[in-house]
Amino acid sequence: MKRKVLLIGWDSADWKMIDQLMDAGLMPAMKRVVDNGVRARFATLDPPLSPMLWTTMATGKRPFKHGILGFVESDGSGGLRPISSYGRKVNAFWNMFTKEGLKTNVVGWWPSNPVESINGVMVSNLFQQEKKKGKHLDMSEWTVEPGMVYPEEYADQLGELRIHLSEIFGAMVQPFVPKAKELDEKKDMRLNLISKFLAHSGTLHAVCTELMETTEWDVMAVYHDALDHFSHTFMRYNPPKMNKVSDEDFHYFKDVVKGAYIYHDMMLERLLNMIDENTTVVICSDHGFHSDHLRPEVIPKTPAGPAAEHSPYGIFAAMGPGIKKGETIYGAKVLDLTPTLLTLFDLPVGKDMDGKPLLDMYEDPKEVKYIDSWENDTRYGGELVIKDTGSSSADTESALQQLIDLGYIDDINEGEGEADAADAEGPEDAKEKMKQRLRDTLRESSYYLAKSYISAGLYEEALEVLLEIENREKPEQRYLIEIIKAATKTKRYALAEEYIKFVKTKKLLSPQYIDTLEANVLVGLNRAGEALSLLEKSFKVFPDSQEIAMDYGRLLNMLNQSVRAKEIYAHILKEDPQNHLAYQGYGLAALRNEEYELALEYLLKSIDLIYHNPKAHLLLGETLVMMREYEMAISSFEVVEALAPNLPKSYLWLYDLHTILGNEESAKKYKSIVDGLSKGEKIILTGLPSEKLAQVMKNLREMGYNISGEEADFNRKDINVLEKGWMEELKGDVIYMPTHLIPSLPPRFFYRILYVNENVETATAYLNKMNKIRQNTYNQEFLDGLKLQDRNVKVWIDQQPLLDVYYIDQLENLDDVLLKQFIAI
Amino acid sequence: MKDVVVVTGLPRSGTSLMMQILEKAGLPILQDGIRESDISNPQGYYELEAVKGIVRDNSFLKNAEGKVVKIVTPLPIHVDMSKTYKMVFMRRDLEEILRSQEKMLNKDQVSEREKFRTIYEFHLKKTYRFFKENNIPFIDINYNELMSDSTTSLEKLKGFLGIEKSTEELLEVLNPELYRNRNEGK
Repeated sequence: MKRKVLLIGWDSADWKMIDQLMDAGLMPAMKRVVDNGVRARFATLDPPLSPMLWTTMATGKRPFKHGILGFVESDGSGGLRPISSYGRKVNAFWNMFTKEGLKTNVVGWWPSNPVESINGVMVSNLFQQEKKKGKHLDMSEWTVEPGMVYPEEYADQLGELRIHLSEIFGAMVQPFVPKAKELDEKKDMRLNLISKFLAHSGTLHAVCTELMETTEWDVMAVYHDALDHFSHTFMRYNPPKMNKVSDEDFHYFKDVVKGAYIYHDMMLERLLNMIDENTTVVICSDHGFHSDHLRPEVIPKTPAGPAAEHSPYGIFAAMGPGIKKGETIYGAKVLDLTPTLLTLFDLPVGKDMDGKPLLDMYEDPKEVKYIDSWENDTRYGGELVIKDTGSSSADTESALQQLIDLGYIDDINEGEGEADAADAEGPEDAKEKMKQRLRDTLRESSYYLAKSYISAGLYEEALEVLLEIENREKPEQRYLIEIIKAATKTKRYALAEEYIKFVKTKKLLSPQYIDTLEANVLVGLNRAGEALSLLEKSFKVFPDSQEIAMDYGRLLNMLNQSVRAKEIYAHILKEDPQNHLAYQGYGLAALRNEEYELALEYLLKSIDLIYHNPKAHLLLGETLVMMREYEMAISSFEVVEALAPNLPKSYLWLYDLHTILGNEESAKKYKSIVDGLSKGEKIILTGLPSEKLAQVMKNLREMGYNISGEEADFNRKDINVLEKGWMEELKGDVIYMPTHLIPSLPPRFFYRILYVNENVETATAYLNKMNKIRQNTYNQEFLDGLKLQDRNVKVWIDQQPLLDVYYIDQLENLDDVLLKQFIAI
Repeated sequence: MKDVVVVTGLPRSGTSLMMQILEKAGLPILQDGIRESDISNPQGYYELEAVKGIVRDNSFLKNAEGKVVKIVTPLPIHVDMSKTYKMVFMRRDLEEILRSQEKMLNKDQVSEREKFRTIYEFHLKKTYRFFKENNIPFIDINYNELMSDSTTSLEKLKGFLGIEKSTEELLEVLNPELYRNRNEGK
């Protein structure tokens, strides 16, 4: 039985709309796929810009690897053109399938002009665009240009199927706008847009069905951008009515988006009726689209600003032989599409791909084959049918106009042809204007490149790009914000502060927003107290800002203020129940608060939303440890090991747990990994000076531990952290260090820290007693100082990768089996 | 095939001085002399116009075998890889470089000093990474050491490039007056 794959791309399709319509019986075809297959939320990538995302989906790679950045590019001769296939640096699935001899048809993928000579038929994303001649669209001159169809002999046959905007008449628009006739008299331009979207999607659908019927194919891929266009233009009128929308507009246009989804379902139904039982259907989108209270009131007036309407989760659904039925799978992301398509044909996945195959969708476990890279495969995979000539044609102008209409790029000529602009201003002005536009475009592409690095956690690379495009004469808020964040992430605090000073002086950002940026710098500089007060202030001013609340919650967690942290994360989740990091933050707070069942619940939710997040699995493992579910904890840490092999903590845990369970072989294995990663392990005892700390020291001695440091010398004046190799010289199984020396621990050791928790008042009383000061001496400054020290050290500890901490609240903790393992010598 | 000798480093790190030393050592210089010497650098720039366009067109390196050419960082990553190279990497304290550039541009860039410092760190890193990944031989010559302990630095340079000229003769180039801006603004 030979498997075939029908891949359908619906730009910006969102489960919220689809679920509503399926429930109402209005998307029966989609329901058939979901009921007989699997569904998943498809996590998008930042920035959520379609050409970048669809190329990621077609390659399994992030934009900084595949090279498609934004909507427009330089045409190489001083002008601009819509983003093309020329910029793609890596193999797409159609190249891989061609290498494997699979017949592959690809229609409309964005970007895919010019087409490639693949083993099948390829129709580019410019094929359906009407040619623009001045302001008039002319059907008689609507020819299929070279580069739009491969093989060329299909050009005429497929060209015949195109639907021109002028062929869409009133009755066709009526299902979307029932009272279109009334509006037509008012010459409402929005009706023309509906006609255009219908003409384009109708063309793509006709080409797809034609190729399905008249060609032999193993893979049939079709991409529709119409849902995205419909949503950007009409989602604001969707119920419930937004405040800013007039009653009249709501009345006329409230059903347009709904109609668009139903229309797509009708196209889907037709395709489903054309396939046999050997065909796997995959439907996906690159991002979602806010349809409810999350719709932005204002669209940012920046390039690609409309992307603010996108939601971070698109759709993925698959139905076919060997695929589970009626199930939801978790953790899917747009990066996973190509790796998953490869496994449908048992083809190897490239190790250089950033996505993973969605193996959970299969009924039976599937073994995945891997190769280093498809880029090393020299077999013929197709090539561009036209070499880059570096010129912009009238066809690309139409596509450019489309992007301008949608608000993705600015129109410097304000709708006039460039020639007209030149006449009005003189050729030199127009030339200079064009040059400037080109520079701005390249700058913007670099910004998307930086964002793509950031989305992969590569802040160093992002910073390098951002600093090159930043220009003090022409400050751009978005760039400055990302620079400050990347500088903070890469611990370049002086740089971050320099930029904070600049945005403050120039008043480029609101003072509260600057506070949040500054707070993160202060955390890095180990000034957590100041950071906390800045964030508290900002949070009060902007309680609805997810970003500020997330930073605030994170800092509260670092400071072990778990109850407040939980409140903040709950506040975030109320607004955005899909925020996986808020679930993770809540889970961590609950874990710290010893509410293990609750922690488990929230961490599992976080993992459901985004599976590939090692930190969440690590916390899940730690929660399971506290619940004494050691076997399950081991599984969690093994996931961490697979997702983030460089994260040392999971190895420490795996070593401990296997030792507790008596799995000698495994314990040995992890011990050797741990040893290989560091100069050795050190057990550190710390905490504010107190009776409890002294007692812990005494008990540990009784338990047979040799302790470096004396109760009598809480400051450890014998240690000079400025001397090289001081840590190596300290002998003893457990080293006592006062809290203020903890941030001076030298790197490259693994530290297990026993932190004896004591409140500041008790500690002060103890110190007074030791120093023979009257018991009721009260010194607020001293108390504040100790509090700050305790807080800063805990934040520092939280940020160290090679460090594990066990907080001792009561002396009884010393009997805990975990603690014993924690400090086992 | 003879190596192309490239003198590289950040602008104001002593690349022109190194060009003078190599010229004195008898190595032919690849130059067009378009940019005249000016007050900031009395000995001339040794800058080739074509180098500025290296990202698009590196064909000027076709005629560079056995010659010396100055290419500031990070541009050496765009060299024609069909040739073989020896890179002389001029290093100088970044703070000094920034001050020297500010003086040259007659511009107070204190408010952007961290920005440029970081950009230059990236340029250096990128250039070194390129040399290492492509096994291109290079030596670091520290400008400050070259001025304070000239003989040692020059011996090192001579060894790397196989220069036979006597160290004494090369020392003539090192006019201490050139080492300006060093203590200014501190």
